[in-house]
Amino acid sequence: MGAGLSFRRGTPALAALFILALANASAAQMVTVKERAYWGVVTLYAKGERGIALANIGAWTESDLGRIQKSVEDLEKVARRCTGCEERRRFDALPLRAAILLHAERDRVDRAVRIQESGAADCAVSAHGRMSGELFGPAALQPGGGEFAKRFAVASSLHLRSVLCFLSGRNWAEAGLKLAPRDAMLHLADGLASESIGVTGFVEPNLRMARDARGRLSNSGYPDVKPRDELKRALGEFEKALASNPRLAEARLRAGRVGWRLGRGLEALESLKRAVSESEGALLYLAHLFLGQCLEDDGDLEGAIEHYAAAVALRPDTQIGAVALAHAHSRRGEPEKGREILGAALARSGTRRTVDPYWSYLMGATSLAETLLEELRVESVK
Amino acid sequence: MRPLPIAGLLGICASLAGAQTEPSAQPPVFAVQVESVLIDAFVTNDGSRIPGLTARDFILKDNGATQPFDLLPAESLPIRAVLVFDTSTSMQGAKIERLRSAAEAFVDRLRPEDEAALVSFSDEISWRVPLTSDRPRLHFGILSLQPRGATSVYDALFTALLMPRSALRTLVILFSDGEDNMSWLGEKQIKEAVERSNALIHVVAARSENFQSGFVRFSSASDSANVKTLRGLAAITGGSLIEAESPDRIGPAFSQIIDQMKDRYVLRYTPESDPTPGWHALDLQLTSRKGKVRGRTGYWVEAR
Repeated sequence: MGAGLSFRRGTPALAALFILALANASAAQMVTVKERAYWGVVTLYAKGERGIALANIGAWTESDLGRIQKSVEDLEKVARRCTGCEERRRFDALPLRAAILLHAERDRVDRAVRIQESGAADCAVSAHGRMSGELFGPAALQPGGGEFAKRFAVASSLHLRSVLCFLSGRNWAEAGLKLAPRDAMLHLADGLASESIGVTGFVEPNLRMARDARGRLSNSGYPDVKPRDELKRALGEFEKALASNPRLAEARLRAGRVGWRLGRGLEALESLKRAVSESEGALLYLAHLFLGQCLEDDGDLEGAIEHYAAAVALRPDTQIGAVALAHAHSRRGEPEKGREILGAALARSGTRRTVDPYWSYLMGATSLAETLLEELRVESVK
Repeated sequence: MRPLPIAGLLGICASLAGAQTEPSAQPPVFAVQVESVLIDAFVTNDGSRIPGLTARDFILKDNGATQPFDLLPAESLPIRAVLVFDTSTSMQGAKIERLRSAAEAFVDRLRPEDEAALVSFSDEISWRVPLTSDRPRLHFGILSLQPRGATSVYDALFTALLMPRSALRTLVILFSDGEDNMSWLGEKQIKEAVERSNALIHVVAARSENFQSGFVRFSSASDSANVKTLRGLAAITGGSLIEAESPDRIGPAFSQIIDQMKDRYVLRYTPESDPTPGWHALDLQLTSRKGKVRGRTGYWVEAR
């Protein structure tokens, strides 16, 4: 035995414990340092230093974020068991909402870059997207966290739908509904995603990239889309939204539109008539359009023309209403009238400053989700 | 519901004899017996065009009843082409470049008496150049095409069918590379509009392997419902759908269309004075020669 470390009998076991303790202490210390740095970045974000925080958080590795997530979960477990204890106070003080918003924003930035680079839609979830999802549950436990979680789930669902990630959008609505099963906006968001899947026939671009054995495109990891089932689900969600909030005009409009798509003419007609009387702005424009189509299908071309004309009068800058009205006139044997209407709309092409409401209806509008997320961010800064 | 005239469906005989008549302000209305049905017939045998046919080589049936007709000198009939181009985001890169080149070459091959118009569509339809024989204007319109937005194929096709006031039969060349995701009009409505129109429709469908902008493009002609629909719409009018397997095939597809137009036979048929309202199925065959005839499948007479 040399002159180095020598241990008496029993020493090896003690030494091992000592080394383990040292290692643990070192790891704990490292986590603490990392944690401190992490919450520092989140606090920067919460204080409005958005650009610095976003840049900084982008450098964090997935494993680092995993450790932070683990420490939050550990604290949450303890906090759940006590109401006035120190751990609970520490847990409640964590700026989890700001952290969620920071990671979600970084995820959106990363996705936007990927879309820009590839020219294709991209629904892959980044480490930051996952992190915002992992912190979502714990945040709901904090004081006022339930309301935040609901609104964040709605905003995330709408955002993902607007970038054509319909299934991911629906997943966020479902996550919110687990916390608030009767929330009208969450049911509406769930229905919106399902309606988009049902109408377009696809769930998400990344899922559709795979080819099956016969070389056909298929939904990898997701069963083939059954549009009718998706539309039925959407209708069910809109009805639940209306049960929670009968004044939710968008749910009324969509229930009517989806009902029409499902061939439930009478119910659709009633819903859309109510939507016309209860809606305003873009929703009223769409309500007139959809009611017109319902009437046209029912053989009432005069009624259809009346409502298409009302839609065009409300939004002369859009083409969809003009196409519907011109087509109806053409069917009535008045192609010259149709030509005049469509010609006027074509003359305005390129001058519209906003997205066509019909497009927003089908695919969502990024701006709405951004507005909701910005509201949450401003509140989290407060 | 008011009775519908046969607006836009039938050509006017007088304008067909090569005469450069001004476009009618009013669409042709099937009042008594003045209109004629025009049929562009493309005749091939094993894929090769059969030249030199005369009226005696054809037999035409309207709802099963053999009908007399005239064979017009196709080469003297001016072409009224409406180019309807997809400019959605997925057209970025080689596709839009090849499309521009193909369209320019197409315009250059038109004769002085021919006219063309240019319509582009994404989530918005733009009537970029009205029917004109002004080549520089057409070239400028083609070069200014920029990809952006979604795809509204059916609405754009309806626009191309409705808007031209030409009394001649319009040739619509529809180019698209993706599924319709923005149109107001559905398959049923556009099919009806096509049946009631007087246009000959050719479609060039560009193939794309990958997802672009979140939507499945035409991954292959066989597995796309939209391609089937467009092929069916073209077939109603006697036209065809040509697949461009790669951007480099877009130019040849356009050349094929203009070659076909030069090789076609044009039949003029005047229905009886009081035709039965509804869809009239047309059947055009060769009498004694082997070959395949492609022509419009029918025309529509409205209830009075």
